[in-house]
Amino acid sequence: MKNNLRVLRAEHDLTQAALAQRLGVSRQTVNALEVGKYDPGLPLAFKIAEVFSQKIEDIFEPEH
Amino acid sequence: MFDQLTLPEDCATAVDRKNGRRIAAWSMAWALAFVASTWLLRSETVTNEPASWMLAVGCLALGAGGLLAFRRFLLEADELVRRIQLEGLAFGFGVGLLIALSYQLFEFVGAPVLDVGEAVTIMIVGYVVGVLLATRRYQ
Repeated sequence: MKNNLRVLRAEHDLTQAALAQRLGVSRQTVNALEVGKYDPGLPLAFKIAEVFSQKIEDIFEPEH
Repeated sequence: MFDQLTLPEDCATAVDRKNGRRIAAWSMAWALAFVASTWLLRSETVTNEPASWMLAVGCLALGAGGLLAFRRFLLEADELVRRIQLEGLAFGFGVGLLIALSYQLFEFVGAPVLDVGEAVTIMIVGYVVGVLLATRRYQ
């Protein structure tokens, strides 16, 4: 899946570590999400959407 | 020390590291008990049947404690850590099973007999390799 997590994080002036702490995950997880090596489970996807006040489908996009 | 070696700060949450320390404590207790019990029973220092049974059951109980600690770690883990651990377990189990079963054929043609402890060691090494490979894949 593609995502604009890195852009959103920059817009909110958050480091990966700070975002990881807000989401309750490790920095490794945030990095893996940003580089597209890992897709989040549903609970984490909802948490991400809540942190950035966006809908999940506005953050994550299936790769065609 | 265990959590620094196996769960660096970047790769795990505080909960993961706490659970990692718990696993380390149970594993250490089991390992010490296993070594002591093995020595006591093999050297026939303890021959009394109830005492011998208690040593064996005590060791098993400590191992079960470690297993429950690992289960708790997996249930509470960061989802990527959980995926990496499960991939490592699957790889270790597969490699261990494959080698342990296939090795019988080599025993027929003269290879040294494989002890169950050695088969378990292969499984553990497979698990460690599996975790390292999965960690690398998600970096």
